[in-house]
Amino acid sequence: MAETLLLEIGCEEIPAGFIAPALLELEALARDGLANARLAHGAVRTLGTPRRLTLIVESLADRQEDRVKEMTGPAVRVAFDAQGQPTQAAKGFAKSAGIPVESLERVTTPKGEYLLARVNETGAPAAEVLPARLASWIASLHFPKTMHWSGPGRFARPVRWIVALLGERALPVEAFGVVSGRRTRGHRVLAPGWLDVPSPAAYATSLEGAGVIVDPEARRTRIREELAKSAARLQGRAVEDEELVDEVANLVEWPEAVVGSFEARYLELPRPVIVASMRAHQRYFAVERPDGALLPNFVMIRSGRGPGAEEIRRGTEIVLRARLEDARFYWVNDLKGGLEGKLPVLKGIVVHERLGTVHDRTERLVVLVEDLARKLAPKSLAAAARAARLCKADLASEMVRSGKEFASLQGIIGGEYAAASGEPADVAEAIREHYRPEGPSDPIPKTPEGKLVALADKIEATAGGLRAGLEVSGSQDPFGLRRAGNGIVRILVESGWRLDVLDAAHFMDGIYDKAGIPPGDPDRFAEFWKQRVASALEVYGISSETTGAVLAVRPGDPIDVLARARAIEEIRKSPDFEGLMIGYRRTANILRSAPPGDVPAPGQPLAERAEAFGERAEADLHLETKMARQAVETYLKGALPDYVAVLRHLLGLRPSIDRFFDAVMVMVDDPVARKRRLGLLEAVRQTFLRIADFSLLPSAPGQKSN
Amino acid sequence: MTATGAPRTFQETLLRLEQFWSDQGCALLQPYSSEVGAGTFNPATFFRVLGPEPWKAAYVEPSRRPKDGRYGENPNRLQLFYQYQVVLKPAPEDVLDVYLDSLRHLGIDLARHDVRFVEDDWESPTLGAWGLGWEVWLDNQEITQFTYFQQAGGYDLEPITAEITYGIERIACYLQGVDRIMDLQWSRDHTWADLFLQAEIEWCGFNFEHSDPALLFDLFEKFEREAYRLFKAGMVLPGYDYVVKCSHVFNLLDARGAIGVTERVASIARVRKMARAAAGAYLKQREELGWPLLKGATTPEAASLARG
Repeated sequence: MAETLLLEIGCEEIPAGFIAPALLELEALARDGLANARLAHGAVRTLGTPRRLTLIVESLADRQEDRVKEMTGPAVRVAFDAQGQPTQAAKGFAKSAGIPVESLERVTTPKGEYLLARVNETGAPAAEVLPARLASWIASLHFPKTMHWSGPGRFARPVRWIVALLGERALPVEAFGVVSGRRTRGHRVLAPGWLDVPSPAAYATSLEGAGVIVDPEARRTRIREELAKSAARLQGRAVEDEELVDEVANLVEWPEAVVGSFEARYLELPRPVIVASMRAHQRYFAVERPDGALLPNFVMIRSGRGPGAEEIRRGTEIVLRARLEDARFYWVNDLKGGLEGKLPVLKGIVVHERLGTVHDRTERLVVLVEDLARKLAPKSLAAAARAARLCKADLASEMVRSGKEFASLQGIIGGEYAAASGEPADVAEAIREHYRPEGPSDPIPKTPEGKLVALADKIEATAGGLRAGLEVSGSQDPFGLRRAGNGIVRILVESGWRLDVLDAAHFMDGIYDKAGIPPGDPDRFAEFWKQRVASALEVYGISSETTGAVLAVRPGDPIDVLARARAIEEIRKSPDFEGLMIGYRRTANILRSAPPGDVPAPGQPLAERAEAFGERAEADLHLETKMARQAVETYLKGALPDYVAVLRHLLGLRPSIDRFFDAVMVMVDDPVARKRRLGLLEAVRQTFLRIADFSLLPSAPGQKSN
Repeated sequence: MTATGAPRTFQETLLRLEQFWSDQGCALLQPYSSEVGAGTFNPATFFRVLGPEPWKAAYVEPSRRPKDGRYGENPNRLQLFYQYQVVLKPAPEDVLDVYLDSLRHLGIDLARHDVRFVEDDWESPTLGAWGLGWEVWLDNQEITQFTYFQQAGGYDLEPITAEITYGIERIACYLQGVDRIMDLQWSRDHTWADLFLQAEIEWCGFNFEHSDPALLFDLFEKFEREAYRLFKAGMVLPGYDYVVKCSHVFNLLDARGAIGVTERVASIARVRKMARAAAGAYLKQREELGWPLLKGATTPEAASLARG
């Protein structure tokens, strides 16, 4: 009969961020492990709180499925003697398989004929095979950080009990020196001591009676309800913050709201500062009026229920008041002298020993942003330049320098200080959003000024960082250079802004040279940039071969690269593509094997006089190439070329290329004819190279390139 | 706010903790006689967590953080505060329950408060020590640091010690319902300010303005040499005293702003190297002595280890 399996790993408080990933892993381990153990089952789900990771498997079969196990034995030639009698090798194999020698079969393999034993294996009872497997799942769980507490095992925090039930029957599972049973623990304060779980079905209700809501989703729902109820009593609504709901749900076993307040005078502080004061360390939820203005209240989610709301409210208010008082102190002090007054302090903050101070950086940002604005958004030049000058000033503010929860508000704080110092709204907004995007899911800046400053900040950071030799490799991205590089690509692509970033980096090199900053490895930026664009193209669904081919040519402007990549992906689906590749390869191969002096350098004009050609096919290819090249160049002059059309022109060259190779001998003794023909082929190759390096493409999608 | 049955003075708070941990079988020790930044520096923690010998101790540690002083003007920041330090080795299975009992013993009715264990990774770069554990929050105020020691002096630890560090001023403020440490009732007749405010102001003056960096740099070098000389001579505890002195001198230089960024990292590494040498010397010495504290140990493994 099928039963429900319950496994609860009872722990001391596991870090909130570890819980959801561990539950996912536990579920995956169970699915794999049960399949492996040939145990049929129904739904697999997990539950958990800071003190327990729980697995539930419904309708678990009571026995493993039977199976026929096939074992290959010795080769037939050694298994029987000259008389055809089984040798010791055959007998030994039969014995180890547990079947009579007569039952052995034969199987033919590429290596010859071998003995085969088919053994019927009867499935063992689930209760027998489960304990060792459950123990191994527990021991296999991964966490970002683990510890010892007794014995050699490691886990996120100490494991103190294990409940393992198959139906109503307790299974003996041992892990970390803890032997399982049916005893679990309830809420630390509401229900101290042990309690028995009679069956998997009664698990959640038993715990509920002991002050624990064991389903994380149920806790999240309850938190949202508690927030809504509390906010409604304040005639407001809780400021939505799903990330905080998730975190708090994994900090408490029984969520219940406690409402607190702070003095209204703190509402003078910028909203992000107030919200950060409540959120960062305290994990309080902010409350706003229907019109969106903050209320001088908060909702704190306690772990527990019953009396004490009054005591807790008082305690939580004291902590918040201390934080708001700190913030107010910084705000008032920082505003003395305005944001501009902070600029001289930036001379004392070193970015990097080679790159100078934040003040030096600011100077460079202004120059770069002006150059970018002229190319991309001339109307925004003045505001963007002003914003660039002020965008790092908040690094000199006490609010950011405190290193407290407000430090993460850099940029946002700068925007607030700019507005409070009388800067125009577009300048303040550009400062506020210039760190964006801070990750793959963070939006890019909204205003053109914000985009310009954000671009300049990221281009300067990466160009300067790479010049100074900062590290980009490894999984850590210690200086945030990769994130900045990704930001550059996204801002340009999502804004439809055309910019050759390699040119911009080159522009920066001129500035660094003038500032006497020693040059670094000149290829590092281009390499770094290609990797960033490649990773963006992957996100846009471009195949890696196409990415490699387009990045080999003009990789600087991501919109152009993306357009070429999409066109190639499109054309690779066409039946003509294979032919195009053959023509291209023949051309490239013959050029590769030609003596170097015979091939003209790229950029040489194509010979003009068609009448000089000895062969009709040569004259044809000459004419076709010239026309294709003109067409390609015309397209390339457009704002964003229609690369599919360009590629169709290249496809059109195929018949002429074929006829040329059929009719014309290239490597002839006559040096004039030879050089002329190689020159023609080089012109063909160069035309292709305007779009991509086709030699990096495989001949048909999915096949390996040679 | 006054919790029902809560101690009315700072010293009663201490007495309750002393009584509680005495009842748990801890050796009640007195503060270390040299300047330290935390109770962890006391040999009763730093050395005793090393090696196989069991250990249970509790003590108050006046902890000096020269950089944290604010001339007595900030209600929560002091250059000298008191920690109540408990070390339990091996960490008992019910150690968190016992800790919660200690809060009850202080007069805190846990059913009327929110107690939470919030993830916290503790590390002391100068001692080459780290551990995992929690900050304990009482109604969102951090009142205790709880750590399962994993390494000290760069040595992996086994068995694992549980270290409980109460921030006593914070707890006493809470129990007495005052917002400022200066307003704490220390004894029946005196507040904290009566007893320590002038000292606090003076020490801040010393830490930030009047200490002599040249002298301190010189002392750092000399103390360091002395520590190594003593370790070489097999003088483990006297040698460690000079490690502690180096660490404090470093903190003074740091508060004075006399140490540059790269120098700072280098100095921390020098203290860590000394701490490692101390830990190594201590382990060797205890092993040679036959791990004396294992003799009274109750587990058969421990007893067999003691017999060698």
